[in-house]
Amino acid sequence: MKTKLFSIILFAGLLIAGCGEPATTNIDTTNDSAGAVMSLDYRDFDQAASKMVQSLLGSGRLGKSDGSRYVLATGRILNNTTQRIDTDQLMLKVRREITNSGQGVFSAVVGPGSDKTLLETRELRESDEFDTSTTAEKRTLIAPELTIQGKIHQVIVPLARNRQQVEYYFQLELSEVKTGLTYWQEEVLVGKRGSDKSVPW
Amino acid sequence: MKKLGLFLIVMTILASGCGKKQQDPRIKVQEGVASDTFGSNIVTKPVIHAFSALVGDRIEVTQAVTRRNNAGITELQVEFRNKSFNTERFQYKVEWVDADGFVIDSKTSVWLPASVPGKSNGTIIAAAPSAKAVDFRMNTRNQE
Repeated sequence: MKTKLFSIILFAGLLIAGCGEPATTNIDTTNDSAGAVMSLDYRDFDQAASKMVQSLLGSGRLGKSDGSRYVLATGRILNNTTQRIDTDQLMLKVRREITNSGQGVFSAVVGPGSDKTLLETRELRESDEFDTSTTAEKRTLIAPELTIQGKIHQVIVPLARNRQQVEYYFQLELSEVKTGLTYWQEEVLVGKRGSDKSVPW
Repeated sequence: MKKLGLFLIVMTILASGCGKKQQDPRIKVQEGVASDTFGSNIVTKPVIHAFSALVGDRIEVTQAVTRRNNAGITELQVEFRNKSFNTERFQYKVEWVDADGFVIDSKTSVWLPASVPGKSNGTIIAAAPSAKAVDFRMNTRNQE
């Protein structure tokens, strides 16, 4: 009798404790201590962007002797990985930090992510419907002096015992429009090892 | 017999640790490459390693220096020493503070990984997110 009762209590306890869906929790993105994943997650982008920006600002390449700011244009960021990546996950952070550093501003009209509405709005100068004192005149846009472009590259290395190594290379370079010279470039490697059943995409 | 064992240990300690010139502190010759020391000698190693673990030898910051580069950005260099015999992996986060004591909001202030082999020196280099930064705060945590 006692054994039966004990079994029922044990069974009920297991049902209550173990059979429910795992609870949903918000990620503490400031102090996330969860284990690594084989794919790229937000921590990898944070880490890569942080190292890139620190390298660029620490290099002093964005410092102008007269204290003014460079005008930059963002070029293409190639995604050479098996993952579907919005490359803005990297570039938005880099752009934000360069802008906030006070050493550079980005052109919104040049580059793959240019602001089409901005150009459309400038065309309003041709319209009789608008007060001409509120429309933009011709030849007032400022051309970029520097371009920034890069690549996210992936290498998968099979290892023994059903394991694999996945290397993600974040590469950026900064070039001067006038001379075509590259002033700064950086590569950040994020490497992961794990089961080859964890497909990185 | 016990005396002989004790004699051998003492002799090994003497042979491995005494009479050696102080090496250039900038150069670390790791165990297996350098001549034996107390910590690497086959006889004394287990005792020394166990003692090190017992007293909780780990990372010790030896110096933190800052400078301003030509663009007005403050750079930070933190030097530390791993006192243990094992590779220590940890994470660090640097926050920068402006002249009013306010933390500058930046995406560069994230947890970043660092590691240093046993009994070796390591360096962390960081750059401030803007020329407004005048000071820094650094935090560390265990590598998960």
